[in-house]
Amino acid sequence: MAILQPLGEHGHVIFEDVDGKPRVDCTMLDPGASAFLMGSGPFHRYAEHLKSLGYPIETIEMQRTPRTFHFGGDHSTTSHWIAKIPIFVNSVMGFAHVFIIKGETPMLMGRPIIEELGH
Amino acid sequence: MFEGHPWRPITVGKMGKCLLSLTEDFHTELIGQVPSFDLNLVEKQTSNEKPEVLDFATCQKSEGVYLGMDSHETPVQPGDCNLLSKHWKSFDVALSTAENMLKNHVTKELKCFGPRSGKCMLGNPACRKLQKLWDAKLKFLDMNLAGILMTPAIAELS
Repeated sequence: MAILQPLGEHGHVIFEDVDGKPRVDCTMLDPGASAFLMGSGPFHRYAEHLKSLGYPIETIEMQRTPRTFHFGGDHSTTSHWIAKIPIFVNSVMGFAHVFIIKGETPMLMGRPIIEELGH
Repeated sequence: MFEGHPWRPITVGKMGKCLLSLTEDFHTELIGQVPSFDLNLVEKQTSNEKPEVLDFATCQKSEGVYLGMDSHETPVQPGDCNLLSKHWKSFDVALSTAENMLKNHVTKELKCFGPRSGKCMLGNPACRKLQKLWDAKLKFLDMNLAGILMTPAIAELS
């Protein structure tokens, strides 16, 4: 993971592969997390990526939510949206509900989702 | 082979982390097919509390208040002031700060009234009830804020 500082005033955390190529389509497997969440920045970049592939992003379903997440050091943040995003793995397509939080938190896939994907 | 699938190399991040591409097997023919899975970790809603499903454009419009650029086309009447996105950002920060202050206060009070056994008070049933009340209060605040943001005058800002 590398921290880039592209256009604008916010620092963007964008995953890069070993070749240094930005990967907006990638999530980090985080066994310590209990949910699947991402910042609004990575979410919109993933949506743009889907759009570039030809996926009709206007069909992505959204729900409002007041879910609070607690991080280390007494830090907490509230998610206001849940997105039902499409995932294309193992030659099939499915959906996963992801909590969208404000800012540039990278895509973090928690243990329950990882386990479900492995079934 | 593992469960009928061949092994394939994983995507490794620059810092050695394992990454999973969510569009690794994207094919246009998969779009519109019946999804093979629907992973939902969101708490199940009660029957009389069905969540409203919105579309991506509505979300973008709502969030655009914070992310978008201000339009300076609207003429300002003498004595008036245009509502700019920076005002919404300030409002949002102020609201978050107030939320955190209240939450810290509740936590501090709970700790003060708790037994000095070293056990976490937040695990007690009474505290869980308080936490539920607190979450309901936050939900109420959130829904009201959402209502304000969805008014036509605010939507025009985005």
